[in-house]
Amino acid sequence: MNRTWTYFTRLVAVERRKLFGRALLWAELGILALFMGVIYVALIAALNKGGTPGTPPEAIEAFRRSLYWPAGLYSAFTFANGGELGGMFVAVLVGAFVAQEYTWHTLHFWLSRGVARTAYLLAKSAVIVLALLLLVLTALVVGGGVTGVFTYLEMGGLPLKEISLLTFVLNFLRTALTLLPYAALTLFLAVVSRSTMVAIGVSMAYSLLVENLIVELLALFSPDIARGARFLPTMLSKSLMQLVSPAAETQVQVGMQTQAGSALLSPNVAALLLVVYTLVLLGLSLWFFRRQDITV
Amino acid sequence: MEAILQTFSLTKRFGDVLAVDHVNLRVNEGELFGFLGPNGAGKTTTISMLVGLLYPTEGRVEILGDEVTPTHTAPLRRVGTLIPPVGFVPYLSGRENLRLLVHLYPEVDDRRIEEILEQVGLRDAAHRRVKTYSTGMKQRLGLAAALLHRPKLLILDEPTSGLDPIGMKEMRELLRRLADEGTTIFLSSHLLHEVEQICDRVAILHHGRILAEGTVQELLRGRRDLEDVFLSVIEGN
Repeated sequence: MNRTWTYFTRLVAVERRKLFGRALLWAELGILALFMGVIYVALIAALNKGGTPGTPPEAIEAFRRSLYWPAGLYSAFTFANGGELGGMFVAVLVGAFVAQEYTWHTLHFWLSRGVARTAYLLAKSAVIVLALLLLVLTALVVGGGVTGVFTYLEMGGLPLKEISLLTFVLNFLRTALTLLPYAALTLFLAVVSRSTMVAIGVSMAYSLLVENLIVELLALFSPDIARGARFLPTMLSKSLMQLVSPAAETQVQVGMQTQAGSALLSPNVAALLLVVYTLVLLGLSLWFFRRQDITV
Repeated sequence: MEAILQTFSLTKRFGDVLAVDHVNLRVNEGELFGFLGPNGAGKTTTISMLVGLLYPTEGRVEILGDEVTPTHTAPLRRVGTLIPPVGFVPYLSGRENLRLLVHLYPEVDDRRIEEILEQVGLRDAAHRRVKTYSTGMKQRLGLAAALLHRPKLLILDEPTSGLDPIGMKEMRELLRRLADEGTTIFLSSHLLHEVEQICDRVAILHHGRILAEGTVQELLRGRRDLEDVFLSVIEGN
């Protein structure tokens, strides 16, 4: 057992070096940081101008407060969750990281040296989780940083006493959890198709188009059928993110109730189902990978 | 003599195509075994099964006395493999790619990496990213990766492809020296003179079947050279 674990940690070290040595990872994090920075600065600039004409002052004030810490700090997580920008970034990163192993023949190189297939894919998955945590951290640093400065300038200090370390850590992990099904889906697509384009393209199409389309389609039927949309990863992410940034997700929930005739699931059930989605997709990936003929 | 590598009725079918047809091989300890065949004969498919990349349709592979399958490849940790195109991480340097292997072979240290880079003539280019390497340089780095952990068995598929004549000669000399020092080598090639010069025993594969097998001397009996043997075996089939 000890030897197996040591061997696995060595494989994780190999995969970590491969992923963290890639320009793609750092470029993605840079783009995310830039994008979030621009959005937050634009939001604050719009707020300071008094919002769009006709916006009720109380709405502007509510929005201003949502950018103050601690709400502002947690709002950064909403950008990184699986149903939002995070899902797209994960698709690109995981698709390239896994599928290019086939086209570059690095997969052949390692497997022909006695690396066990299951250990190989699990080591890769472990490193993907590390990358997801880094992605959430980036969102937190940028979003938290900008809203932190905003809070400081407006209130003359940061309400650090209002921030619970436990809530902060849980919110961080909840956000990362929403990314897992998308990472697992892309991993599965990469293994089955062995193509970077297919893995990234299908995964992104799913998160950007298919899920929303399913929600819309289900809404055309009875309310009972429409409630099925609650079990899609994007809706599960929203359910879980209620705990992270309640203000933003309440709007979603109201929208869902009118649009699809359904309320969101409880965050705990959503978290459990996100784990189930991830494990099922990871299990399928392993099943296919172990049976695959790796042609030269 | 102890068999280091053996196949038993090894067969691979891709749909209607029978790529490898009941191949039985036995490579003994310390032997430099030549696996000859024209392009498309099934050499790479056979090697892919030896190293656990492909599932055989029938038959089995034993390496160092242990069965190898795609889900049981542990015996391959004591084997050095070179199967073109060699899959290095393109954005890492040659040296960094070898350093990755240290995680797999803890007995290998930085000194050994420098020694092997020197041996394959890549020391001066080791800091460069692999994506800037020529085919020949990648092939040399592939050999370095295969030799890094001083394996008991080397499985090499066309190791001289992409090398210039001097590189080919150096490679032949290196392989002969390794075999003389006790490393068992399974060398797949379509270069007949190369195999004739350095191999102890040879098997000729055509349309997935072994048509001839024996020591170079046995096969050459009454023939001008290995090319003559090869052509008569292929044409006679």
